[in-house]
Amino acid sequence: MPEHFTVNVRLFAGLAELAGESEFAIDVAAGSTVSDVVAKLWVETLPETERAKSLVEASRFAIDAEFVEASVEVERGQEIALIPPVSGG
Amino acid sequence: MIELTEDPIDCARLLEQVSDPTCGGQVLFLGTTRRWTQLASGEAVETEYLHYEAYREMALTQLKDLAETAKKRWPIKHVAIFHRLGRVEPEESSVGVAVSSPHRSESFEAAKWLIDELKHEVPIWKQEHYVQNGAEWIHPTSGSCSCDHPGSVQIDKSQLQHANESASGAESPNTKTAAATHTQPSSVPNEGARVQPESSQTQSLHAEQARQTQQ
Repeated sequence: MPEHFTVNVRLFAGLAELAGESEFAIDVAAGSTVSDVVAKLWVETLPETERAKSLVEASRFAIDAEFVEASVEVERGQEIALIPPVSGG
Repeated sequence: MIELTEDPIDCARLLEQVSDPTCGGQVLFLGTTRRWTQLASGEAVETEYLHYEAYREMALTQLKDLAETAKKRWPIKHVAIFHRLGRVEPEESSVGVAVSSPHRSESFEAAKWLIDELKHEVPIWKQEHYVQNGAEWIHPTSGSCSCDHPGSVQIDKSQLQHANESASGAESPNTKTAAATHTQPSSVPNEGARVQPESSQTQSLHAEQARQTQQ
């Protein structure tokens, strides 16, 4: 049984609206990547709609407020953010 | 000076941040909320107000990085960027970018680069509150921006060429941004207005590919 820990996941804008919340504590096994976290988030918090699917697919990811690739491993206590296409300005 | 603020943007204070006795030019760009957006169909959509949200820590860091990068790329002296969060009424400014330099041309170039980068890269989002159609978070699709930003990150180039269907000259400074991988046209009325059959972005990607081939 691998070690498990929690990461804090933050959602914004349309993704937070779809999930109904903007922050989730997600329990993952040691060695999990950002992709694994997102997959779990998808199952646990987001509706199975085309809108949700396309927004997640279009999102970039950040660990502790810095962009990272989805293949990066996460660590205990980190903040993982999904960054859907931005629209500031 | 970088600020995310719930208060109206004070242009005088913004310009004060870039004032410098060695500078002969200051450029100020203001992004303002359109009440009316003309669609390709000719229909006009009325916006009641915009609501902005940010991933604050990340947005601040990124805006500071953009300012530093601009100072390395151009011989400019100062950069100041203020961005509104929360509710912004029509005709109010949601963003202000000020740049100063000894001579004017680099301030114009840097200011344009800064606002284009901001709109493609910085984690800030707007929610359009329409008079007629409720509210919708804006998440632009790739290829939907006509600026010459070299790339919405993670663009799937093979899809990009087929991404857009309807043509329009309608400008949409509110939201003309692209940072997405998926290419499904949005149902948002003024999203459609931004879609162009062969965007300048697509063309610049083609040009980039051509350059790489030549090397």
